[in-house]
Amino acid sequence: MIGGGGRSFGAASRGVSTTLGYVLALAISAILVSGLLIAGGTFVEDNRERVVRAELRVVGQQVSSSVETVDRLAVAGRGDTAAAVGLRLPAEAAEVGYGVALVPDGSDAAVEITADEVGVTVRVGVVTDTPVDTGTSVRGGDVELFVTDAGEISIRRVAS
Amino acid sequence: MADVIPGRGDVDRGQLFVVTALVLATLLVALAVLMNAAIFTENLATRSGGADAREALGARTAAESNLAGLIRVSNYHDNGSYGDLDTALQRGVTDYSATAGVHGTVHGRGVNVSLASSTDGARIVQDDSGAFTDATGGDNWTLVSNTRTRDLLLNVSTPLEPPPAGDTPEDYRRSTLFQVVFVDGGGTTYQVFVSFDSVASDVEVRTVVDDGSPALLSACTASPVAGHVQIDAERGTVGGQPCPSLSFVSGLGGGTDLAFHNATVPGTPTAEGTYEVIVEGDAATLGGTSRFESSAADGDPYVTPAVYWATVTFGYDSGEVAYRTQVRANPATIPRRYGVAGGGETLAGGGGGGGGGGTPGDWTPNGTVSIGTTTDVGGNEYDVPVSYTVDDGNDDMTSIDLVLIDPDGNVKGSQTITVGSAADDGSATFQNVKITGNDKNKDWRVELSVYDDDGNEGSASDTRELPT
Repeated sequence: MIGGGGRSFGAASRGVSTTLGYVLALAISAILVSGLLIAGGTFVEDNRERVVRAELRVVGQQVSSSVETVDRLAVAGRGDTAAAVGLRLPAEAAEVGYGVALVPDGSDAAVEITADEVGVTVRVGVVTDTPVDTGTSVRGGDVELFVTDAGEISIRRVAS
Repeated sequence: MADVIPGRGDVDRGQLFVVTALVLATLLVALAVLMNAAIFTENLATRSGGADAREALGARTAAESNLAGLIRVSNYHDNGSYGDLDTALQRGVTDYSATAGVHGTVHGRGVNVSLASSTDGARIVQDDSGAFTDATGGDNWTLVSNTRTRDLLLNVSTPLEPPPAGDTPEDYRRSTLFQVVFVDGGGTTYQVFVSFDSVASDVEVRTVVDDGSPALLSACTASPVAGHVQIDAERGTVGGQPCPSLSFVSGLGGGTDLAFHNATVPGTPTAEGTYEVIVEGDAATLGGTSRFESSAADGDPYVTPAVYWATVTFGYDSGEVAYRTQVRANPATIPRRYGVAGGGETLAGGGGGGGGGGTPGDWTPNGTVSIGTTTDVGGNEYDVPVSYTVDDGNDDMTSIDLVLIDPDGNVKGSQTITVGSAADDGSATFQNVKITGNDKNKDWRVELSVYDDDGNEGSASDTRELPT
């Protein structure tokens, strides 16, 4: 520092510089570190949602495929027809539990998979000749698509 | 870096970075777990989505076609009464169920089939070549009304009437051609005209459809084989070739009328041959009408009991797929294995379509016949010995007919002989045959017809100047 009369602050002025430098360094580091953590956390969270969505979409397509398999069997049958198709689904998608529901979708029906946490819902349409019992819902795991006594395709959980 | 807490010296320096590093490491681990889940998702996506219905539907189709084969076999072999048919069908279905069950067990699934119901029908058949008239000689006659028909097969011999000069529905309708007439439940008329173009030497089949405005469909032609052409109405073929003019037949439902028109123009047949058709309805009722004989008859149509179609309860369980339903078997949907034949021509499809498959259907019996040395018994009468050998590929021959024909084409004697089911030979004698005047030292002919259980017929002949 340059003072008046050519006299320097000597050792006493060094603390000012050290404290300022310390505060500045701490502040910059904190900003950098928190930025890194926030970015990293968001990145992981985004990926988690994407992975859950991808896995639930695959699950939805498999359920949809099984609904259509039951439909094929029901359509090929005559009179009193009983058809059931088992499907082994993962109990969780990326460590997140989920539910499977058959829901109406316009004039057709859809398979709706809803994750318990991350707020992900996936919907996969199905086209069937046999009516679908919309409104039924089960948890992920071993499930079975079947034709009810009323001649509708429904879903139920089976013991694994 | 400076101390986080002043006065702690160098030991505690850098905690902020340490904490950051730990948090980042945790995030990276979480990211790795997510990547693993993503890879698992890709793996899951490549697996087949749930159970496959193909095996179940394949087993169902196999049961259907085998039952259809069983119905067809029963209609030919166990047609004494509806009771006989039912017993045969029950036994066949039970055997099939046991076999399919064993086969399924090998592949880790259960299959079960049981007969649920069958619909009575009648098989109308004319298996001796003749005009397409009814049993009383009527030439415009209705075979059945307001019912279902299937498997109409005509084996028409040539020559026939020539096609009309014109090419309009009216030209065909004004002609005297033999015609098979279907009227469907909605009142649409289908007239199938059969003619013979002697220039091209082809049999022509052409249909006039009339649902209010008559239209002539395109012609189908086929060259006769050994003087015969098969018209398979159910499968829409003429001489084995697809015929679009007949494609309507397989779409006819209940409420169909079937008639033959112009079977003769006064006195002379417009067409000759054999035919058969299965109809829904009671055989005794049909057989009691004057149109049909109630049992096998020479040159006239007769009726036997038949199963029109049947329904089985089919069960399948592979652990992943459980399926139980009713299956109706309609023999019209599988290839023919049996049928009427004429003039020694082999008729029948590729076989194997039903009844467990595997046995070809073209086992037409065959044989040879020769006239021996005559014995003069006085008064211009002679004994004419005849020797024959007959054979059949599947050993189900039943009988032979021997007919002696004089040089003018008149039948001078006939004999029916029961033969062994396997290859057989023997001789017979036409006794006291009068050979006089113009018939003397002329060509006489002996015709051999050999029959088997399947309705097939083989023939042979020998010509010789008599007396020898």
